[in-house]
Amino acid sequence: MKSASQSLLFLVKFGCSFYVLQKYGVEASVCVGPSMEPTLNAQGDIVIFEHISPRWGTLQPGDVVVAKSPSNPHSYICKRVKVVGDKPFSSRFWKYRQRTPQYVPRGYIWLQGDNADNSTDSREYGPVPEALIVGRVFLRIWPMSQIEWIGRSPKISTS
Amino acid sequence: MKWLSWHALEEVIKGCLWSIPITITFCDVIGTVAKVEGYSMSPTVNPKAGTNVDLVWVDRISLLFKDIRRGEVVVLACPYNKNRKLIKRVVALEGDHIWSRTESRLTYIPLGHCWVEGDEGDKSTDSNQLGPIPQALIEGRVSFIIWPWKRWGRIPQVPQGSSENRLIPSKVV
Repeated sequence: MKSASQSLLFLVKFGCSFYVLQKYGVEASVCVGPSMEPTLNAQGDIVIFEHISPRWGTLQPGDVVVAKSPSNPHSYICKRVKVVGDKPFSSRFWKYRQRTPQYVPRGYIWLQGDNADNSTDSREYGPVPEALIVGRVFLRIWPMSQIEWIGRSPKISTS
Repeated sequence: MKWLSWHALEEVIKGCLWSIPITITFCDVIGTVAKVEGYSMSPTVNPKAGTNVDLVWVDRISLLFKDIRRGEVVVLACPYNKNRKLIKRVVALEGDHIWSRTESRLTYIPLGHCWVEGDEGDKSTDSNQLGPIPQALIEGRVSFIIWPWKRWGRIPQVPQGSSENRLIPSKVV
């Protein structure tokens, strides 16, 4: 018969291990919204993403990523990486509101939704600091009829 | 006797291994101790006169239930280098306008962003160079110095005079 403190210790061990596995390894989440159509469904998909690529700085153009929203610190966005910044930093990109994927400073990423007409992305809020990117989406597991790897090529809309 | 000491060693090793996820979770969720480098926040933290490097408590848990306010000292990820952390004071929030320290330029702070500055302007890489930064970059609040002993205690979380007169707050508080 386990004592209460033994059960509590087990919960702490299990909870912390689960937390570390998620936040430093692989995590699942729901992505809702039209901005990544037709790659992801507007009604909501369950996707799996990994935290390793953003930490190691190995993100490439084409990767679908989950990031903290620059417009709302309490929510997340799911977009595709269009440009990984490599230009030297110059303050003109915020001083003169120059929003172009031609100028993305080192350490920043230009994000764009696959559904360009219905997506709020770097065209509105500018290039996003890499520190906001939390994970790279690599697999959709729901809906079950659409289980598939998510790769670097967007789906072409058939409509 | 040999059998007993192997068992004890096994327990010690298991304890050490379990402490890893527990410590990581604690530091990510509750808070952690950090060493402050540089003088951008002097004399509040790391005053230039001393040779000490201050140790501060970075509080993470309060971010989950209390929104950022003007005047708070925070730790944030550096916008152009995710492996570097900055310690600055939040001077303006979304909806505010602020005159930048260096070029007398009036900037509007967009939704979800804030304007941060070091208390010691000359030594600071902050919003005056980087622009408004997303609040999502903020990783914790710095409200306490834990070393050196003689400056142990709370850090004032109020806007400094040098920034107050450059701020035009938004109409909605």
